[in-house]
Parts: sequence; C-alpha cells; structure tokens
Amino acid sequence: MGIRIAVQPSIGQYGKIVEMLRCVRGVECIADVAAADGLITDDPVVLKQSDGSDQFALLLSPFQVDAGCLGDLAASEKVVPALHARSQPAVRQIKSEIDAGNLGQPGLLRSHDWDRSYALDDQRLAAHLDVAVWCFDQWPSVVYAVSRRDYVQMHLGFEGDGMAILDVDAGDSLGGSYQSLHLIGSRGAAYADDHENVQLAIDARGIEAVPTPQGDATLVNMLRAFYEVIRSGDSQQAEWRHVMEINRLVGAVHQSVAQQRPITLESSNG
Amino acid sequence: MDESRRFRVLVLSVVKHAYIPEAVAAHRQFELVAVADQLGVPEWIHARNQDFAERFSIPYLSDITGAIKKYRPDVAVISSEAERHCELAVEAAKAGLHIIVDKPLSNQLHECDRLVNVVRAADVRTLVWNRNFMPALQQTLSAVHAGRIGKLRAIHCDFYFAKDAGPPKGSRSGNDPPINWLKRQIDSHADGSDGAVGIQPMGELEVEGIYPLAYIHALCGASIKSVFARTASHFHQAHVDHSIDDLATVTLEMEGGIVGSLCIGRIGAASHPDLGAIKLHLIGTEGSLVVHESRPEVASFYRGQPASEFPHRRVADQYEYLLMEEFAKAIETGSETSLDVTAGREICRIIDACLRSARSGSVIKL
Repeated sequence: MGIRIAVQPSIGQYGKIVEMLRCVRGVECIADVAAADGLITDDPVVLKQSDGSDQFALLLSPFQVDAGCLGDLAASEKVVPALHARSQPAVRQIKSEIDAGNLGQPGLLRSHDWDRSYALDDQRLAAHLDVAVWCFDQWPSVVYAVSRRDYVQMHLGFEGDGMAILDVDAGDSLGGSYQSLHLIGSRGAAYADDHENVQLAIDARGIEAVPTPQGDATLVNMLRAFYEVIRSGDSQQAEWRHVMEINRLVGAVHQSVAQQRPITLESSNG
Repeated sequence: MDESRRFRVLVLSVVKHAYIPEAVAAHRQFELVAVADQLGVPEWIHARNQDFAERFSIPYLSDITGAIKKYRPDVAVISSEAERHCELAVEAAKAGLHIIVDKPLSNQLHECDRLVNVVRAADVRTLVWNRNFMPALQQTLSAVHAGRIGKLRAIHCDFYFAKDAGPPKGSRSGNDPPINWLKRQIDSHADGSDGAVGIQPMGELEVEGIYPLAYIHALCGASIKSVFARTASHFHQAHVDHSIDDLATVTLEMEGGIVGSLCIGRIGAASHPDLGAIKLHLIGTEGSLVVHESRPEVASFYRGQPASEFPHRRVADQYEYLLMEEFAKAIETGSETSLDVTAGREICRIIDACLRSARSGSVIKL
C-alpha cells in the first residue's frame, strides 16, 4: 500500500494538487482526511485542531503564518513548511550542482523575478531569501535593500566571500513573467535564464519570443518532497526555525529600506 | 576618392592591449607614425614598444617630447600600465594632441582630475576605450532612446570574464611567498589577460568596472547618487595575496529614482564556455529588455577543438571601427565622444566609492 495523502478541499489549488499527486509514485490520493498519512492544507488552524495526531501535514504558505501560530508550528515535528521556491526545476538543478561540489564554494547568486501576476509581498521576498540561504547553506551577515513602487532589490552579504543580489519586479509594464538565477562558484557556475528557454514565433506581425512551458514540475517536485518526508519520518522542527529566520530576514529588508542603510544581522549560523 | 582628413598617431606606450593601436591603425583616417615612451621605464616595456613598432614598421623613441617634435602627431593612443595613463595623457594634451586612452582611466582619482583640467585647457578631444558600440548595445540604446520601454526604472549589468588569473585561491602553501603581481601580469600578456598590468595591484572593479558603468552611462545618462558594494577574492591566489577583488556586487541608486546593480567577476575559464556572461537587464515604465551583449555570434564545434578556444564567436562586430569613426568626427567637428575623460573620471569616482563601500560596509553617497 502506498502513502495515503488527502488534500483539504477548501484550498485554492485543490484540483491541480489532486491531479499532480497522481504523478508521484508511491502515493495514493484519498478523500478521507482522517485516514490519510499526510494532509495538504493552507490553513494552520486546521493543523492546530489535529495537533497530537500521527499525521504529517504540508502547509502551503508557511511565510504567511502569523507569529502566534508560528511558535506552535515550530514545536511540531510533523508539519512540513512548503518551501515552494526550492521546488522550481532550475533551482533544484543549481542546488544539486552545488551539493555535488561541481561549482565549488558559492560566491555570488544573482536572481531576477519579474512578474506582476503575484503580489510583491513578504511571502514573495521570503521565497527568494529562502533560495539564497539554501544555496549558500549559510545565513547572511548583512542585508541592504532598496525599494520603489512595485520593485525591491535585496543585496546580501555572507561571512567569507558570499554575496547575492535579488530583484523582484511586479510593475504594470510586465505583460509576461521573466525569471533568471545564476550562481557563480569557486570552481564553476550555473546559469538558469528564461532568456535561454524561449522559442521564436514568426508571423506577418513580426517575431515573438515564446517561453517553453515547464508544466507543473514545481508542484510535482514539492509533492515528491512531501512524500519523502512522510516516508522518512524526519522531524520538521529545524525547518520551522528556518522559516522564522527567513521572516526575520524579511524584517531586515524592510528595516534597510526604511532606514536606507545596510542592516547587520546577528549570526544565525550553526 | 576619399578626401577625409587623415590624422597622424603617436603610440604612447603599448605594454598592454595592442588591439587599441591596431584598431586605430585599421581606420582609414588614422596613420601610426611612431611609438614613444619615457626613457626611464623598465626594459620589458621598451621591448614591447619596440616589438610593436617593428610590426608596423614605424620608429620607436624613448623620448616623448622628441617624438612629438619630430613626427608632429595629431593624436596619442595610450595603452600603458593604468598607473601611467594620466601622466602620459597629460603630456600629450599639453602638446595639443587628441587622446585615446585604454581603460581604466587611472587608479588614482587625483590623476584623473589633473588630466581633465589639462584636457579642458588644451581643448582637445578624448576617448576612453569602451565597448558601447557593440551591436547588442547599439540595439539596446536605440530601443531605450526610441522610448520602447518608457522611462527607465532599473538597470542591471552582469559582467563576468571567464578568464583565469594564475593559480586558484588556496593553492599557495604556507612557505611560499605571495605572488608577484607585476611579474604575473607581465607573464599573462600572451593570452591578453594582463589588463591590470602595473606595480599597483588592481581588482576587477577597477579594471573592468568601466565597461558596465559605461553602458549605464550611455543607456540612462543619470548620475549615480549612492553605492553599496560587496567584494571578495574568491577565485585567484594573486587576488587573495594582494587583498583585491575578483568578484563584486554593487547596488546603485541614480537620479530620477532609478535603481541599478552590477555583478562583476573574473570567474575563471571553467565557469563559461566563451569570454563570459555579459548581460543587461532593463526595466522601464512601459516594458523591459533582457540583452546578451555577445550577440550576434556563431557557434562552432569540432574534433580536436582546443579547450582554450571559444566555441561561440562574435560576428558583425564593428565596435572598434565605430569608436574610431566617432573619434574622427569629434576631432573634425568638436563633438563629444561616447566616453571622454570627464566621463571616465566620473566612472573612476564611482569605482572608488564602491571600493570604499566594500571596505567600510556602508552606503557611500556621491
């Protein structure tokens, strides 16, 4: 018998998640929440009600959880924060190159995220900061950020050599989305760029660059990761401490913008 | 028949990038007449000057004043060590010569100031060598100036040179002496990676920072109000030994609320199959642009291809010719060049602020 996963019917992506669970080998998607080994939800209150059960849960928007709830979740071993940005195919590939030692010591991470279909809110900033911290496997020691209407640029410095520049644009002029991420390491570099992943469509009106779709790979990767957690039974307390530290980093971004100066961070490393 | 005016050119030291005087010589309006340098420079410099003079069948004189008097040049082209750029340019400008100078303008801001003042008094035209006439840059400039993306909101430039610079970081054992900067630069002349040749070690921000900043200067024309920079010696032992950067990031804030950033590095030959990743990202009120500086290019792959050969080769690139066209026009009409010494001096001031920011960890207002 496979691992049984239920999806809370009220969540926004219910149909899509149920469909994509079929792509995860070893998973049986069931409707009976109480009988499931794992539950997918976006509501931390639901998790509070089921506190003490053996069931694992995947919480879809961990960076939206309010501070009061975060403390409870941090004590939980079985609630998994969905760090969705890590599940993007390009991010996973770059991280696997780092972990394999192919790039050496990470030195510089640069990302652009231009998309007006998502709000430029703390959750979006947190997702980018999470990817940077994950790639460097280290917390930044300084953050400097500048902000304009619908635009934020975050500049991170890490102890030793590391640095990162991440910009997020949600401006009205964007008719489509554009993402890029590259990581320069001491032994090599990896470049993920939508610029490289377009096809040309040519007609009487001219020529257009059309992105090659990546399907639902991000969602499937995230569901596979949840399956692995249930299978391994790993405690999630460290993940929630990580979420809280990322939230602290988002706070430092806001502080830097407000005070127009770099913010030095107390070490969160080890 | 071509009746355009011809200009006599004195090559004032050619220890670094011979491609600059070569590009000058390739233009129909310019004629190299001699190479000259200061008498007291080291023997390796005399040898390089002599080699270049022999290649072009022109004389070499270790006497600048005498060369100017004897050959009556209109133009001086300078590709010495960066620390002598301004000194040589000042001497040429005082003699009324128009000036083409290699980058960076100088590693000393006060030297830039001295040159700017002399150039202004002498009323001569100047050109700091740059890449602004690359086809992709020209295309971007046209799009921006035509209003294709509206008013500029943000501009970002990645400028990575995928070249090595001697042994990798961590390769020196405790008993070995630090790498001799000048000797390593002299040794690396053969592959053209000696852009930082000189006594004073220079990091990538100082050596290459002019290129992306010249792009930003051309594309938005806005003055830079503040910088925040991080630097590291991440790749090469020579940079570690001399505490200079081979990797840097800069946040820029410009007038009109424009935000910008630079990512600069000498990231090593293994990190890119070609010259390096050089890209521009521009965000405007009406649209955005993502630009590969290297386009157009042709890819070639073949059996036995040397590892050091770039598989992608730039084509249709006339930037050197266009720079010289612009310079000829500037001399003839008194027009400005795309990057004169005043703009070059401003870039040196920005780089200086970046380095101070990296050292202090603070935002530097300009």
